[in-house]
Order: sequence, then structure tokens, then C-alpha cells
Amino acid sequence: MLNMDKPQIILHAQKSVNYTLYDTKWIPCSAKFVALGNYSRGTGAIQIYEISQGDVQIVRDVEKSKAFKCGTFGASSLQNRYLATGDFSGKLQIWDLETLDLPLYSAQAHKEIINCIDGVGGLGVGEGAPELVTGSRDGTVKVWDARQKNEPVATMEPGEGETHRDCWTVAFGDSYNTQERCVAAGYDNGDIKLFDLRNMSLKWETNVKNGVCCLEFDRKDIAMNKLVATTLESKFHVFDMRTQHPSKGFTSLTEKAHKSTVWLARHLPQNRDVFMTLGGNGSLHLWKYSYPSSRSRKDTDGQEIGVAGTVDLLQNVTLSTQPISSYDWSPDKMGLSVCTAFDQTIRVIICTKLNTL
Amino acid sequence: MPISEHEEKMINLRTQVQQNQLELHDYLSDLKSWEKDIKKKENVLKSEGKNTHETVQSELPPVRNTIHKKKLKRIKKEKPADQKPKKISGFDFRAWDKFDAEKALEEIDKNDGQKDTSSSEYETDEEWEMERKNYLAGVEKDKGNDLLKQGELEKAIEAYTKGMQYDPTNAIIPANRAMALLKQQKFAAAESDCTLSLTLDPLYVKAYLRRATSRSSIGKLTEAIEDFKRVLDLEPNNKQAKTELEHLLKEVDREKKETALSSLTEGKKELVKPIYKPPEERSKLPLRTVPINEISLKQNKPLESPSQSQSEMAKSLTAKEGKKFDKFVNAASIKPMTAKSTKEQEDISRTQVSSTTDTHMEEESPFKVSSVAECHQLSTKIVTQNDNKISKSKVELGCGDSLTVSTTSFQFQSDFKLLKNKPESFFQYFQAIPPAKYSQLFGLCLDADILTTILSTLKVYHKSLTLNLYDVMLNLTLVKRFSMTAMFLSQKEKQVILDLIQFLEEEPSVSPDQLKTLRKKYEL
Repeated sequence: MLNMDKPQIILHAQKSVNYTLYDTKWIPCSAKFVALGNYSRGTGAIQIYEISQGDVQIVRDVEKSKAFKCGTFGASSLQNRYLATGDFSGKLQIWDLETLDLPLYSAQAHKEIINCIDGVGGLGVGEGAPELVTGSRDGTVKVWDARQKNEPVATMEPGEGETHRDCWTVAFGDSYNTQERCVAAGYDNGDIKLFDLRNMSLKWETNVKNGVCCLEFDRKDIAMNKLVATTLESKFHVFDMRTQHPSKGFTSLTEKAHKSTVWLARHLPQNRDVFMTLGGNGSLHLWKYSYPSSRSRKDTDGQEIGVAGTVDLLQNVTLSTQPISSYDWSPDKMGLSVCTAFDQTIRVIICTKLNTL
Repeated sequence: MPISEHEEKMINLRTQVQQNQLELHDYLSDLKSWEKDIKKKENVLKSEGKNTHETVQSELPPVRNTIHKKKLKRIKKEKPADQKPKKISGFDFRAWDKFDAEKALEEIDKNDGQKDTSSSEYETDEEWEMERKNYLAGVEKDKGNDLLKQGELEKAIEAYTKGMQYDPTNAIIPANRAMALLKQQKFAAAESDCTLSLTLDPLYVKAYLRRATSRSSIGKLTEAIEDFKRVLDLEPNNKQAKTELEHLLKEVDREKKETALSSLTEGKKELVKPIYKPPEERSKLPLRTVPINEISLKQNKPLESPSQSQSEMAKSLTAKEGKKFDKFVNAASIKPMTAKSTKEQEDISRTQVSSTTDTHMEEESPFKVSSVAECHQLSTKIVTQNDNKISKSKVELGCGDSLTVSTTSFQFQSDFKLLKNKPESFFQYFQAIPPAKYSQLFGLCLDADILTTILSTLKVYHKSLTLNLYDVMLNLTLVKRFSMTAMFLSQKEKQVILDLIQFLEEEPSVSPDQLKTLRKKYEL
């Protein structure tokens, strides 16, 4: 019965498409979102949709030579709202959505498919230079600045002789002033590495045993607070990133969910302690993180060690029989979100009562 | 009526569902108004964006790692490398089977080396940029070395040149380029490269060796010897330097003797320098007498008496022929007009050389030539060869007999080569040429060298000139392409002409008008 007091996850509208959907993002400061994907003939799709009067209408539809895997607006200014994309051939491109004929920026970023992309410094989110980070199957993580052609501004790659792990996810964080910035990268072997871009060093690494599908900081533009890592085998971890123990690193809690791969975790832009996880069985779980009474304690050696909080499942709903490939909260309208699934359907979802949490 | 627990739950549920629906309804209507609002906002943003775009760009912080990019890569690579050497467990026998001890040792050595070179951190942009350029220079150097090994000299030189541009302070690259240039036999360029390398590193032995080689190849023997000596100072056991030095010293020794001899002859205003050859190097062949056939000039008679009379002497002095002999052979062989067979020519020169040497060597002999004039005559004879008889008669007569002289420009050229360093004999030779024949004789060959030699000779000997100086100078200007040659005369050379014209001014026979035209022709 208590569920009735909790937020409701309601399917608002849905749209079928004729290509495989990999990513979707709200265009900031609009009621529009962009969907990226892969036609069965191997070409890439960029489509722009707009929600109006309870319906989803297509605004633009462009086909490109290479299939798109991921995209972000994170490094673009609010005025330009340029979309950065990573494609199957390893190309990083930046598009002006007004003129989609040619990319504004194009670089052969990786030798293989770009699995993931993240941006920071744009949209008034985070301090410092607008930067993009890409992770690829070739095992490298590269940081890009659109002002520098062809060359990444930083590269994180395995040393010679080390096996190249498939990098599945990257995320920016800790960008609370012009110097500080971190990149978290998750790999198929369960490695999570945290790179400090200011010192150009590896700040922390751990292994969560299962391949890391998604990493996301609760906020990019604050000093690291929480990091959610979702993995194969229906588990996700929430790391408290405030206190780093010299040997034990960051404390985490582990939660089972979805009874399948947890593909994604997305924090609510309006409340950093609420996040949605998306499952391989087409289910959506809405969680709320509760902090412990004290976030750190002294261990036996007198070193500060973090204390994990708890997560509560607020709501869950199954929308599809296929895995959810992407999910994006609208940054402008609380409770509005869009998700894509491998059943070739785009769904606009509404969550109610989020403001009461 | 009391409400049962079940009923209460049902009522609660219903109200909650109603609430939820209400809330959803509210949300959806809110969403609609939001859609309108956000559209307005977006439009405002778009119009704003066009204006503010530029300013936003300029406020951005600089691009990350634009300078330290390389450094970053290195750090990243080092990190995993540090983690790499994992200990093999004592129980993991399979791993130990695969363990290659030698390879591991090698790796340790390599790592040590790498750490030494790459451990430095750069504080400033300049240092970083320097390091980058040094690195690039090294790359180019290695590329050049590989190309050199493959024998692709041009490309190797190109690579070295690039390397020198990247790092102008590296002494090795110019020395390597010098090596490539040496292989191309560009000795002067190789020498200057070595010099450059040595200014950068005065202790670089290879550069000294290469410079010495290039110097000895272009005849700078004393300098080459100095270089080799320097090498031996630095590396007393350098075999190459030792052997080369020995060789060079011998050569210089021989040359010294030569010059000593020639200076003797020079003092007597002789033309031909005898060559000293140690007895074991002398030709063992008996001298042959070959009949001489003069062909080109009617007046020439076989010059039997002098050659015959002196061939006796010559026999006893075969050794004095040496290089000069070869030179004469060569000189003779390029005169197709005068020589029917080179053999004859050879013989002429041979006998003549021996005759001259004779006069130098055996000063006390009864054949001693007492008059300087006769010496000239002899030397002129040698040079002009088949004209010797005429020259003789000319000298005897004491006037410029126009019958003599070379008739072709080829002949003149080769004569000129021999005579240009002996002004007096050249003067005699030149005087024998009638001015009217100049244009025919020089043909197209009046180059600046010949002209200046003629003019300076005239200047020195104008007093003893039997010809009309004005005639000579005027006729010189009539040679084809004279104006071209005159155009490129240096200031110094023009001064010579001015001096000559000054002499002419003193002559009453030359009118000012004539002088004027002459000045014009010589581009003064």
C-alpha cells in the first residue's frame, strides 16, 4: 500500500523506430530530445523528436555513414547545444543540430567503437574548459577539447604488454573549480579506474568482479560525492567518494536489482540522491540514497574511512522485454525522462511526486 | 456502522489511486504549459546565442595539456609498467617453466636505461619544447643513419638536415651528414659540416677524421695532417688516423722536395718544374727517338738539331720527367689540329722537357744556357711546341713576327693553361699573336680569366711591348662575346684596364676619341 505514496513511473508516450537505438539525450532548454542509433544497413541515425500535447513528433531525421553509439551535450554551451557523438568506427564528431550536413569537429578518436562518451564544462555545468571523454573497445580513454584538432588533450591507456580491456563506460566528476577534474572509467573485467586530470595520475582503482556497464557521479560539478557503478549479474554499487582511505579506498554499498544486467544508472538532475537504474529485462528501478549519520569514521589505525549509506527502492516498473539501452532525465522539467530500448522503441516517461522526496 | 479493516484498506487505496490520478493530471497539464514556456525560452536562447557566442568562447580556460601532453603519455605508460612485474608464485611451476631469465635481465637493464633518460620533469614550456625538438632531432638522426646504411645518400642527407634544424646544438648530426657528403664526394661541403660539428663539440673524434679525409681529398694536406694529429692527441691508438697521417706526411714530403726543386728553377725564370723521383720509381724503359713531323705550318722544319743534340743529355736524365711529362702528354693530346699522332707529340715534349731540365740541372755543363732570352725562347718553344722554331726566330729577330702562334682557340687555351702563371713568357707568347687575329683565335672562348691575365700582363710589360697597345686593346674588344666578359669584370680588374688606358693617354698617336671608344667598350 505504501507504494501508493511513492513516486509513480508512468509511460507518457512511445514511438517505434526502424533502427537500433543506442542513446538518447534531451536537448537542453527544450522539449526536444535526440535519438542516436544504427540502421540495419550499418548507417547511423540522428533523429530529433519533440514532445507536444502528449505526443512525440519527429522534427529532424538524418542518416549518416557510420552508426552512432553514444552522444552528449555536456561540453557544449547552452547557446550552441552542439551534440558530441561517438560512432562504431571510433570517430568522435561534434554536430550543430541546426545544420547536420557536416560535423563541426571530427577526429578519429579510437581504433575501435566508441562505447561511451561524457562531457563537462558546458551547459553551465561544472567549472573549467569544456571537455569530452571517450572510452573505447581499444582499451583507451581519451579526453578531448573541441578547440584542439585531431589530438586528445589526455590519454589513459594500458601499459605495453597489458591486455587491452574493453572500456564500457566513462564519467566526468569532481569538476568543482577550474583545475580539479576527474574521469572514472569502467572496464569489461570489472575494473573501475579514477583518473585525476589535474595531476594526470591514477587516483584510485578497484575491481567489482563483474563488467562495469555504467558509471555516474551524482553530480559532475561538485567535489566528488557519490559514484554509482552498475554491473553485469544484476548488481550495482554506490561508492561514497568523500573519504578515501589510503589502502581501502572508497567505501561502497552493493545492491541487487533487476535480476539481470544493470545497464544504466541515471541521477535525477534535480535531486542528486535519487537515481534510476535500468535493467537488461526492460525494468526501471527508482532508488533513493540515504546518508549514514556520520559519513566517515576512524579505523583502528586512526585513518579516516568512509561509511556507506543505504538505498531504498522507491518504485519499479517493467516497460519492455528488451534491455533498456539509454535513459535521460530532462534537465529542465523534473520527472520528465526519455528512454530507449532494444525493442526499437523510444519511450517518454513521467515520474510523479519526485518533489516530495 | 463499523468499517471493517478490509473495507478501510479498500477506501484508502481508492483515495490514493484518485490522488495519483489527480497528481498525474496536474503533472500533465503542468507539462503542457512547460512545453510552451520552454519553447519561448529556447527561442530567446537562440537569438541570444548569436550575439554572445564570441564572448563566451574567449572566456574559456585554456586547452588542457597543450604543452604537457607528451609528459602525460609517458606517465601513463610508466604506471602500468610499474605494476607489471608480478611475482611468480613459488608453487606456480608452469609459470616458472615459461620464465625466461635472460629476457627478464635484459628488461631490467632496459628499464634502468629508460628511467635515466625519461625521469626528468620539465618546469617550463621552453624546457618542454626543447625536449620535444631534441627528441625529433634524434628521430631524424636515426632515420638518416638507416638511410645511409641502405646507401640512400640523398635521403639520408635530407633527414640529417631536418635533424640539424630541430637541434642545431647536436654535434653528431652534422658529422653524420658530412659522412654522407663524403660518400657523395662532396668534399668541401663535408669539410664545412665537420667544422660545424667541431665548433659544437671540439672533442668529437669522428668529425676530425672525416674533416681530415675531406681535406686531403681536396688537397688541403697540411690541414688534414693537423686534423689527424688532433685525433691522435684525443685517441692515441686510432689506427685509421695513424696510417692516414703516415701516408699524408710522405706525400707532403715529396711535394716539398718538388717545390724545392721548382723554386730553384723559378729563380732562373724557368717554366718547367722537374719532378724528383726516387731511383726505384723511375721509368726503366729506354728512351726512344721518334721522328717529328710538323704539319700545320709551312715554315716549320723538322726540329732535328736541337732535339738530337740534347737527346744525349736526355738519356742520362730520364728520371726528370715525372708528372710534368704526363701533363705535356695531356696537353698535347688535346690539340687535334697540330698533332697527327700523340706519340709524336709526346716525343717532342719529352725531348724538350729533358732539354730544359737539362739546362736547369746541369748548370755547369757546357750546354749551359747563359742568356735569359734563350731561356724564354726555349720555354716558349716547349709550350707552343710546333711553333718553337718560329718563336726562336722571333726572339732572335727581336720583333713580334706574325707568322707564329697558335691558330686555333683550342690550342690557345691549352697554351694559356700552361703559361698563365708565368707572366713573362706569357707576354712573349701573347706578343707573338697579331692583334688582328684575336677575334679568330679566341673565338668564343675569351673568358674573364684569359682577359684579365692578358690585361695584367700587358700592364706589367707594356714598356717592352712591340705591338701597338691601342691595337691590342681594341682588337680584344672585337672578340665575340667580349662585352659579356667585360660586364662581369671586377673592380680590381677594371682598375688594370684604367691603368692601361692611362698609358695610352700618354701616347701621342692615340686620339682622345679613340680612348673614349675604348673606355666604352671596356664598360668603364
